[in-house]
Amino acid sequence: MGRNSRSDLLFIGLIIVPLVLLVGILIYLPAVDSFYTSFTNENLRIRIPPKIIGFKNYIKLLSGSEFWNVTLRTIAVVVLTLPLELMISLGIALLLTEVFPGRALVRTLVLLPWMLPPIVNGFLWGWVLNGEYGALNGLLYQFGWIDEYITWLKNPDTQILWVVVVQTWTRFAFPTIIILAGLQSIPTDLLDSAKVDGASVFQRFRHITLPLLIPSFTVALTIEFIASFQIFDVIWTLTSGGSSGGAINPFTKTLMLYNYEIVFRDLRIGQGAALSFLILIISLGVAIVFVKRLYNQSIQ
Amino acid sequence: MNQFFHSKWSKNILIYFFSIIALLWAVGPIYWVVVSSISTRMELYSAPEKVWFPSEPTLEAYYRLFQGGGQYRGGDVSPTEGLMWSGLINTLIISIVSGAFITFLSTNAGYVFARMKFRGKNAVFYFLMMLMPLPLWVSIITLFFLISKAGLIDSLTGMVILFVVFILPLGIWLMATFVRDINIEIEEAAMIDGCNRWQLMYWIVYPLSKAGMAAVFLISILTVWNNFLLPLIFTRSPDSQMLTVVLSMFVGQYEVAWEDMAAAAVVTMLPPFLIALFFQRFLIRGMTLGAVK
Amino acid sequence: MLEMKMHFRKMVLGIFMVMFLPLGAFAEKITFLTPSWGVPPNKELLEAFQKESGITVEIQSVQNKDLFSRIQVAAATEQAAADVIFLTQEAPSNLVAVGMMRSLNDLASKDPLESDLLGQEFWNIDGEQYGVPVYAQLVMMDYNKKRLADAGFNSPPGTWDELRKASYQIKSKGIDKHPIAMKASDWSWYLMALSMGDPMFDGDLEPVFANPGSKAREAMKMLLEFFREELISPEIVAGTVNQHSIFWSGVGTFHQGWQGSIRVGNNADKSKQAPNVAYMVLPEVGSTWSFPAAIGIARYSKNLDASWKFIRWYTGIENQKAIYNAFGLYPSRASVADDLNRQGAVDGYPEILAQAAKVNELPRYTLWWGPFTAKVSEEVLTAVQTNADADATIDKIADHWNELKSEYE
Repeated sequence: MGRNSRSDLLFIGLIIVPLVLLVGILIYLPAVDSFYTSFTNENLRIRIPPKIIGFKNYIKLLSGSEFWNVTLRTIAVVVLTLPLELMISLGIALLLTEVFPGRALVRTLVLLPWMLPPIVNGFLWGWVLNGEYGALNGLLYQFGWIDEYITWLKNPDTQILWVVVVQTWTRFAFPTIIILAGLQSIPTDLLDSAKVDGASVFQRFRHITLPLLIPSFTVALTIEFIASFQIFDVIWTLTSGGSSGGAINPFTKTLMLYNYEIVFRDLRIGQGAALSFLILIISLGVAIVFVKRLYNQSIQ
Repeated sequence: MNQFFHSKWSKNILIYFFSIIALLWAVGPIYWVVVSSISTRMELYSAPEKVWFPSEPTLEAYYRLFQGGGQYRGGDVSPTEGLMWSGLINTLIISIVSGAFITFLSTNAGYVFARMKFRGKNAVFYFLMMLMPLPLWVSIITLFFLISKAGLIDSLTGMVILFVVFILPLGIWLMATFVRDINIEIEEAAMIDGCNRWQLMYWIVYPLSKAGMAAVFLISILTVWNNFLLPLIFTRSPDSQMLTVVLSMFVGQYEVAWEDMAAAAVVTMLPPFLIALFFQRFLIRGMTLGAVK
Repeated sequence: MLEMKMHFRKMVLGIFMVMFLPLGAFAEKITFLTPSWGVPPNKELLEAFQKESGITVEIQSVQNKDLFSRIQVAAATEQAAADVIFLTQEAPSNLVAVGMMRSLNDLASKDPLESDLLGQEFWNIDGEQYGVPVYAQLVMMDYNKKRLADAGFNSPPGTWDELRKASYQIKSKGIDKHPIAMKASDWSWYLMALSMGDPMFDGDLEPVFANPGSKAREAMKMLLEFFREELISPEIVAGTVNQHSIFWSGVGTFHQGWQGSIRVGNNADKSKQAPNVAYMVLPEVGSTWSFPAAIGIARYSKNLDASWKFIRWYTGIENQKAIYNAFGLYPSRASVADDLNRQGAVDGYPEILAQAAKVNELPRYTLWWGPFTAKVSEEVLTAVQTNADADATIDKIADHWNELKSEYE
C-alpha cells in the first residue's frame, strides 16, 4: 500500500489523536498516580504523610497465604463460570440468528437480566434462594420435588456454585449480543453455497460459521474473563450479609473483595493499589494469551 | 417437496422449544421481581406454599413511587417521584448521548485500526486497550480530583465524558473486529472510483456495519444504565443523579423496601427494554458482495 | 422631569434588588449527606426551616457503606463530599478518627449545646466535639411472648442458660424451628458477652475478654452452640438475609433488636410476629451497648454558619419529635424523651429505661475499631462454618486486637 497520503494521515490523526489524549488523561494519569501510590505505605488511618517503601507492598501480598488462597478461589469461579456462560450465550445467539415470528420480542426479553439494576439483582437472588421463604424452594416444593425447604447457601461450596449460576445469569446477555452481531457479519451467500454443495448443518457450522466467529468470540471471551475474574457484586450481595452491609465472608472472598477490604475497610491505600496492579497484570496476562492464540490467528 | 416441508416443521418446533427454554432462563427470576412489585410484604413471606400471583394484586408500590411529590420521603425507606423522574431522565440522557458518541468514535477508530496502516499502529492500539482490566476504583481518587478541578462533578457532561472514556476501548476493539468482516473488495472498488476516506465511511462503512454499530450502541447504553460506582462518586444531586444510585436509597437501616424497590426496578427496566426492542432490528445479516452499488 | 426619571429608575432598581436579593445574598446552599433514615421526615418542617433561615438544604441520601466511600474519596482530594454529614456508630473510627470531620468546638463556644442533649461524650474525642447527638439507640432483645408462653414459660429468661433451655423446649415442642434470631457476626457475641457481664476491655484497652475463664469465652461457646444445634436458622449463616427479616418473616422467638424494634415487630403489615412482641431486658448482668447517631460538619466544608444553623434545627425539639414519629428512633434530648413518654408514645418504656441503666460502650472511638470489628465478624462466621473451638476463636480475636493496636497506637 505504500506510504499514506496526506489526507490519509489527516484522517487518521483526526480520529485517533483525540482518543489517545482522552484515554491518556483520564485513564493513564490516575493509573500512574495509583501505581506510584502502590510503592508507598499510604494508609488513611495514619495521618502522617506516606513514605516510599519500594516493593514491600507487593512482597507482603505475594508472600502471604491469603493472596494465594483468594486467587485460587477466584480462578475456581472463573473456570466454572466462563464455559457455562459462553455456551449459553453461543446457544442463544445461534437461536436468535434464525428468522422466526416473534424473534424481536424474544431477542429483547432475553436481554432482561442485563437490564436489571445490580442492586436489585442482589436482593432478588437473596429472596429467591432464601431457605425460609424463598421462591426457588417454593417452586420445588409445590412441584413436589422436595419435602422441606433447603438452605441453598449454607455451605461455602454451595455458595460458590450459586455465585457461578447467578453471575452467569447476570452477565450472559453481554456476550450474546457480541456473538449475535458477529454471526450477522457472516455472509449468507457463503453459507448458501455450502448448503447447495451438500454440507450438513454441523459441517457448515464447524467449517464456516465457527472460524468466522472467532474474532468476536474472542472479544466476548476476554471481556467475560475479566468480568468473572473481577467478580464483586454478586458475591457481595449473595454471601456477605445482604442489606445490613455485613462483613466480608472469608469463604467466598475473591480478589476484588480482598481488594475492597484492603482499600475501603482497612484504608491501606498503598497496599490496595499494589493488589489492584497485581490483578491488572494477571488479567492482562490471560487476556493476551486469549488474543494471541485465537484472535490474531483468525485475522488474515 | 415433502421432505422440505417436513424439515421446516421440525426446525420450527425446535426453535420455539429452545426459545421457551431461553425465556424461562432469562425471564423467570424477573417474573419474581414483577410479582413482588404487586404483592404485600406478608405475601412475600409466605411459606411453604408461595403466592405465585397475589390474590389481591396491588399497585400500591407504584403509587408510592410516583405520588407524594417532593424528593425524599421520611418515615419510610423510599425516595419519591422527584428522584425517580430525575434519575430516569438523567440516565436516559447520559446513556443515549454516551452511546451515540461511543458508537460514532469507535466505528471511526475501528476502521482505522482494521484497514489502515501507519507507523506505531499496534502500539497505539495496545495503548488504548491495555488498561481495560484495571479495577475502576484504583483510579477513582485521582479521577475525582481531575473532574472536580474541571468543575464537572455532578454534571451530565462530566458523566458522559467518564462513560465515553471507559467504554471506548471495548467499543473500538469490537468495531475493529466487525469492520474487518466487511468485504474489502467493496471498499477497494469505491476507492478506485475516487471516494475519499470520509465518503467511504459515510457511504459504505456505516451502512455495512449496522449490526456492529447496533451492538456497540446497545452495549454502551446497558453498561451505562447499570453502572453504580461512577454515579455514586461523581454525582450528588438530581442534576445528574442516575437511577442506580436512586435505587440504592430503598435500603433502610434494618430492612429493604423490597416491594417498592421491585416496582422501581420494573420502571427502571422499561426504557432500556424499549430501546433494545427498537435497535435489535439492526442486528441482521448485512449486505453482501453483490448488493452494493 | 429628568429627576423624576432618575428617581423612577432608582426605584425600579431598588425593587429588583429587593426581589432578588434574598435569592442572591441569603440563598445559601448546604448539602447534607445521610443514609435514608437520616432524611428529615417532616417535609413541612424542613421547608419552614429553609424559608426562615434562607438556607437551602440539598439532601443526598445513600446507603451507609456508600456514604463512607464518597467521603473518603472527596477527603483524599481535600474536598468535602457534603457540608453536613450524618454520623452512624461506625463513624468515630472510620470518619472522625481518620480526620474527615471538623471540630465543632469553635461553633459550639458561640452557641453552646444544651446539657439536655444526651450522649455528647460519645462524639467528643480528645476534647474536640465532632458531632451533635441525634438519637440514641440501645441494642436490645425482643421476643415473642405468645410463643414463649406456649412453651410453658410465663416470663422472659433471667439467665442465658434459661434462654438456652427455653429455646430447646420451643424447638422440641415444634413451636418454632429456629427460636433464636441472631446473626453470625460481631454483634451477637458482643451482646451475649456484655450481657453476661464481661467488661471486654480495661482502661488501658487491653483485651480482658481473652482472660481464661472469662464470661466472653462462655458467651462464645454458647453462641457457637446455638448455631451448631440449629437454634439459629442456617439461613442466617447463608448471609442473604439479616436477623431482622428472618424474625419478622415469622421465624424466631428471641430476637436481637434495638430500641424501637418492637414498633416494627408489632406492625402487622411488616411482621408476622405481630402483635406479640415485647422487649426483654438482657439476662444476667444485662449490659448492652448503644449505637447513637450524630450530625457533624465535614472537614473541608466551607459553609460553616449555615451548616451549624441546620444542625441546631435538626437536633431541635420539633425535628426530634418528627424523627421519633417517623422512624421510632429515640430522641437524644431528654426533654423530648420525657415528653413523648408522658404522652405514652414510647412502646416498652419501662424496659427501655431499665436497659438504659446498663451500658458498656466498647472502645469504638479507637482508630482501629473499624477493621477490628470486621475481623471479629469474620472469625465468628468462620467458627460457625468450620465448627471451630470457641477458645481458639477468642484467642484469634485477641491476636487481631493486639496486632491492630500495636500498629495504630
